[in-house]
Amino acid sequence: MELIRDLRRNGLLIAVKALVMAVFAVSLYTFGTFAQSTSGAVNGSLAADRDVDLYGLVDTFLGDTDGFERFRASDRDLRTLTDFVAQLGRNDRLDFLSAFDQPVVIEDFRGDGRFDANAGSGLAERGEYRGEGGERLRDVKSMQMNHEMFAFSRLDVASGSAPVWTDVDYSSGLVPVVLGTDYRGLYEIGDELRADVYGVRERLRVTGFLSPGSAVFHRGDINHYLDDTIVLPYPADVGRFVQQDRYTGGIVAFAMLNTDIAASTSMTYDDVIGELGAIAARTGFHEYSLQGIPTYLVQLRLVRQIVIENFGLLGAVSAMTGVATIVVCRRINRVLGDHRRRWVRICRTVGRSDRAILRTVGQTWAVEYSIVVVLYAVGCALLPNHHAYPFLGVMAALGVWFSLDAVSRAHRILATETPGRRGR
Amino acid sequence: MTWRQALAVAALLMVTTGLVCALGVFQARAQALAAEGRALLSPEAVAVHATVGELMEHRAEFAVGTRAFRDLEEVPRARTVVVLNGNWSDVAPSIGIRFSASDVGRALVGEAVHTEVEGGVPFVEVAGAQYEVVGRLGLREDSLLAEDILIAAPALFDAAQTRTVLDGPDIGTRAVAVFGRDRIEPVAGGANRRTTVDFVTPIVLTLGFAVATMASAVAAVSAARHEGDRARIRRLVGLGSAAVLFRTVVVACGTPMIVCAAVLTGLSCFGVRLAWPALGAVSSQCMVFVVVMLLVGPMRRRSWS
Repeated sequence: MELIRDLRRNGLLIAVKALVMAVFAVSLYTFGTFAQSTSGAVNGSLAADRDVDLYGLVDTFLGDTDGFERFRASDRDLRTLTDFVAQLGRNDRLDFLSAFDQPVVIEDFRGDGRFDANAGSGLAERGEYRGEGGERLRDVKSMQMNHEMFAFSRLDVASGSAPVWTDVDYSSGLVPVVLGTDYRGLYEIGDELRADVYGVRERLRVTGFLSPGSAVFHRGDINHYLDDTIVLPYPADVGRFVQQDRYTGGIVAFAMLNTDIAASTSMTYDDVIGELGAIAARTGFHEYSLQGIPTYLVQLRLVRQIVIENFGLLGAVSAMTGVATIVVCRRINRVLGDHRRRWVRICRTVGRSDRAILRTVGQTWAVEYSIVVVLYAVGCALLPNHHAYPFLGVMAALGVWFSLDAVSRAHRILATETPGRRGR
Repeated sequence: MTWRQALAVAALLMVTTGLVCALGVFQARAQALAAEGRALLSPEAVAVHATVGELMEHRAEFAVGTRAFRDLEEVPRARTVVVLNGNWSDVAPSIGIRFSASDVGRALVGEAVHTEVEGGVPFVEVAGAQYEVVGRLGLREDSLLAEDILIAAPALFDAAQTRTVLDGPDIGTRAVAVFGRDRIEPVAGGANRRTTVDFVTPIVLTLGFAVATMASAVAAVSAARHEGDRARIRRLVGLGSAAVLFRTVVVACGTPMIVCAAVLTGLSCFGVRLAWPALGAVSSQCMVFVVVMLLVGPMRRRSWS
């Protein structure tokens, strides 16, 4: 009965208090999900151990088509190139980050224009076209890369598995690929895409899907996202591929060479040149040049800074909201306590024990806390993103807050003077 | 209200207005930071292959503040912008600087961009022409926009059908309405895609404002309660209804005004630069207080008489 009387008299205040606490709990939960994503970014793709100096490696045949053709026609010359690439890949002091965005041609492509090789680039899309045999073809965004680049960029699959790089062999006709997250629903793990890669017909078997927001450093942009891209692993042994298919193998070997090299920031430009020179001397390949790419490190640090600064800002906002919530809840507790004082005195006068008094008022508190938990759960369910840990964390925090709240209110009731003692 | 009660109400109101002020300042900063992470674009920005003629033809169909960006091919990291109608104000391009449709031939540049000063006016040279620099991009010297140049120059929009980025209020639905879904492409999210910041920020800020508003309402309810007690006594000693109502109104309006003055003075003592949104938010809290108090106050008084 007392519960009903209490809810009737103080219902509005109890509702407001529960609402304020629930709103703050949802806000804290949202911030918790953000903290999770920030720590994922700062420890993953923006981690401090990605603070390296990046250098661009290019061949010296730019504009020299004849020299390029002559080089690729010679088995001996090509072997120097593939040896150079292989030794660079095995070098401990330099990370050989090979990636190139040659589009692949896919037959009977299930996606739409946003996967088109030219989508978003400023060039006109070619769209779907008919091949020589009348098949439906589309040029699709693709990024070829080696294992070092995949690992360095902290790429990871959200489902399925990453390709096994050592097994990749273009001459087998079957290449494992990882698809960007936008491909979900269009293709399944295990599907095979009929494709034309560098002019060679391949079947691409889907082994997994990238996590949303996966990005690599590409063409000076640290935020080159791969959500709409097919990630195609480079062959494990380009030398063998060249032996089997000199024309395509040569193109792939040059594509692999024209990439980035990551070196520890403690190494100078001359150290890197010296290291490359040693490999060149061993393999006999000298047709390359090296240039520093300072934008990488600058961009990485700025992006990290902006991510951390965003986190700090939202953290401050959450903290201030928390302070206001605590102040309001204490204020309402005070008013509710005032409303209770006369009732407590009467109870004391008629000889009810403290325990019995607390049990009665505790019913109202239990109702209030239940409302908060329900509102919080409903609020979180209404948000589109669901994460277990922040949800449970905030729930635990609410538990702690409820106990503190109950203790302070019980203290207030126990401290109410018994009428007889003060003689009022 | 007794002085003690008034002080308690004022303290609560002070906390809420302070929170709202802080939220407003943070909101402005978070928006500027988010804009920096997205290369000055909002999350709704879209790209379309269109000619200038098409854009101008449909300019009335876009919301006020809609602008169009194009990359300058000759200069890396330089863009031209045309504000299609009204003012570009929903994403602060730089603190205190706003481009409008009439701002032609002016530029905003990052801190690392080389400028020359002629006659006390800084200029930046882009593709052989000089543009007056009217503001800086980015919140710090070493921002993601440090090397960016933004020129308000419709003349640099050539007639060809080129990739153009459109941004502004409600741009997603309006661009689809004008150009059709097939011609619209989303714009990659820049640095902000690294985290869920674009998604989380509005939620946390909205909930913060909600908590503050409810707190103001609580302050108003308890003020009305105290004032109701006094009103009853005033009635008993023979004051007329009009006089009682007048005193209630004076308290209802006076308290937030004094509190606001105290909060604003306090914040400016600490050197916090108050943005207009913060001031607007504070006045909205006062409105909540006054309205709730006047609504609740007379109601309670009736129940006691």
